[in-house]
Amino acid sequence: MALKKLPLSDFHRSLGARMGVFSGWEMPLYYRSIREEYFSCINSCGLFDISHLGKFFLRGKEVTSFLDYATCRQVSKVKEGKGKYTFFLNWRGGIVDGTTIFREKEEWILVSNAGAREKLFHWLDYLIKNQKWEVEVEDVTEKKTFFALQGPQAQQIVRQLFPVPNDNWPKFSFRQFSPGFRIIHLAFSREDGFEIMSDVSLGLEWWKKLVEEVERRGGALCGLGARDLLRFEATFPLYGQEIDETTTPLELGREDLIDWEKDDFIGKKPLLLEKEEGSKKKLVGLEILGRRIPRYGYPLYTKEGMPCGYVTSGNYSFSWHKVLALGFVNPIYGVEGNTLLVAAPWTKLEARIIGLPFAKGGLSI
Amino acid sequence: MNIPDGLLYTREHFWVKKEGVVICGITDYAQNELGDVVFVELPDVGKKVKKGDRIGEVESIKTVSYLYAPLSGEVIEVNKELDKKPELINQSPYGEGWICKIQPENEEEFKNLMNKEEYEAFLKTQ
Amino acid sequence: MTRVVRALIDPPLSGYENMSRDEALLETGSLDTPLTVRFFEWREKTLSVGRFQKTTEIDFEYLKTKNLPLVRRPTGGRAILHDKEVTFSLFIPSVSFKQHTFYYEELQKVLTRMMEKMGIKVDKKVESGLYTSSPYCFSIHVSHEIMVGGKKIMGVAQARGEKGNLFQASFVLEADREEIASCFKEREKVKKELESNFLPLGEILSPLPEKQEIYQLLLKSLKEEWGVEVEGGKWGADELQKAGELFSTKYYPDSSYHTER
Repeated sequence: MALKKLPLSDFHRSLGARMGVFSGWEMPLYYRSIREEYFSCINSCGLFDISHLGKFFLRGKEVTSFLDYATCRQVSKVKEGKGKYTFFLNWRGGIVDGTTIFREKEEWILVSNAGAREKLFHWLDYLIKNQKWEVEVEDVTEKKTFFALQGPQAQQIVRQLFPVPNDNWPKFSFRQFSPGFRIIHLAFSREDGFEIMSDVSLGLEWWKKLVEEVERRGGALCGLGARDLLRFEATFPLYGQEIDETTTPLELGREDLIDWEKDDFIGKKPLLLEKEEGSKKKLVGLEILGRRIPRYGYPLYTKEGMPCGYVTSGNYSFSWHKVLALGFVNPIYGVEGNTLLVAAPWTKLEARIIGLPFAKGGLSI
Repeated sequence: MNIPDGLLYTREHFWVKKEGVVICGITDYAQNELGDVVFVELPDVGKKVKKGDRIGEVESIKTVSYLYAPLSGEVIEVNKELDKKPELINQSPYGEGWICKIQPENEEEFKNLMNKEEYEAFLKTQ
Repeated sequence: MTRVVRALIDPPLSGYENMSRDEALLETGSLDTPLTVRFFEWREKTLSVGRFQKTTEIDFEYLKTKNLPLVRRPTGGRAILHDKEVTFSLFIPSVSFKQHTFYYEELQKVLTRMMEKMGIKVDKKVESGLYTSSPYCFSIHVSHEIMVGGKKIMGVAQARGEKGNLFQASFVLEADREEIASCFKEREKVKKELESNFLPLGEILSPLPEKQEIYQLLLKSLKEEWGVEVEGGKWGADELQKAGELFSTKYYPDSSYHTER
């Protein structure tokens, strides 16, 4: 089982990237430091190689009605050139993956979490074959490079490098500049941004141009470390941490991403039941009162010592100089202001429940 | 990878500099492995430690790791700057990012530390 | 024999927490602790290794690539990749049986009965198998295993404590032998062993029963075989506190305990 490498892997190394493993991919974790890269994204701009994300094309006569049935948002209302963030659910209402989907003329583009790519492909394949949908799925993950530009200068860079008309470019919409080349106004981050998808053959050329422009503006090349902190502060869920097959959108506190008015969709019934009976767990924000970062899987306790949940992500926010965490807790204890304990190696940490999302004003999904 | 000459090293990636008392810290290799350091938990001044004791911890964005005493002795000073600027460990692991000073109690223990070449060879096995 | 069996059903937890809780049962168990069955689930696919097992045979690169956590159990035996399975542990205080009772044998009777309730006949006499060098639990056959047609269907491991014994059992519903084998350096060898020695329940029983049904069958079998009454029970505060302590000092995710051997 070999590690998957980015098409530009050697290039990242030559730029001094410190590599690490994420969801089976060897990825740049940072080039110089997470702190510097994070602040570049907040103050000017940062450039990420996110080619590890799953990328699919869905085509066929019934593709739109299929997506309407297989995800929990009203996909049929999405106009050409626009997109949405949505969940594919299993029969129990658990999340197969959280993905962004975009509508092109005859087809849909789907971007999935890296950790759920293979699973999502099999799930789609199973549904299509079993229920005889006229839909075709093509996994183009390794045929496309995918870059993300984040930060207040991201839009200027895009407008400078690409022939963008001088108009408003709404969020969650994309433009195609040549057959294999698309730019999406979207960032999985507390900051605004754009994502650039192109055929691998064009990847290096565009990467170099982007690097040059980003550096000219005092921005930085960024790795997954900064990306994770920026998505964490915006409270976007990550597959394998906040989302997995045992977690529902209601437990995530994202009922706004469920379009109940749709006739039927996979997982609708169990979700309705959950809404009626109440969720088993609830995602909460935690401010840690101590100098340790809780990691995925650390158990949460009430002050009386009753186990009540677990941590899904923990991070140190360089902006707020605070340790923050996300976690699932028994809804009885998941009340803002409540204090819980985190069991961490060799210590216990006090954690106060605070409101979500941590960062307000980011691009909402 | 910066491995200065004239320092001694442990398998737990501590460097030790002998100047009457010893000054110690974590190596460039270790700080690079850890990534951005955000907190350093320092040992108490006056604490008697045995070689290999857990004397503190370094929390980075990626992971937590523990500091192990490179030698037995008494902790006589710690780098208080690290409380305010833990990133000094990343920026200057052998200089401003030093961790503590120890009054060693057993000269024999120096023999078990590695020199530059030995530490380099050891890193290749990691 | 204690008259009452306490049944605990835990929500899906990480392997680290699961093992902390099992060891807490063993550690806090006193002569007054009732015989306890704990049903539990794994929040994510996890590889567990036995208390004294060496990890040199494990392919850590593969685990890393697949984000598979590794956890060391408090009980002995060999590795198991926990995925689609029914897992339970059993704390048996030493006053439960007469002295010199062979617990494995007593447990085998219970599990045999449970299998029969599902309509599955288990092998009468189990010979120790050939592959005693295998790193994988289900490739090893020793006496008192639960086997069907010469293949192992349930893995049971034990830890002895001062006040009683802890058993952990893994009853595999479905398995991907290829994936299991990939966790080890000698992948081909492990795969072959698994093909000839290991039997997930789903390969002889269709449709598979729900986990809850299997829980009920086990409790019924305990009742019939040992003449005990089953009570839905609660964790003691001391036990949970101990579990938290064990998590913090021994079983936490990056703890060297998991890989030290």
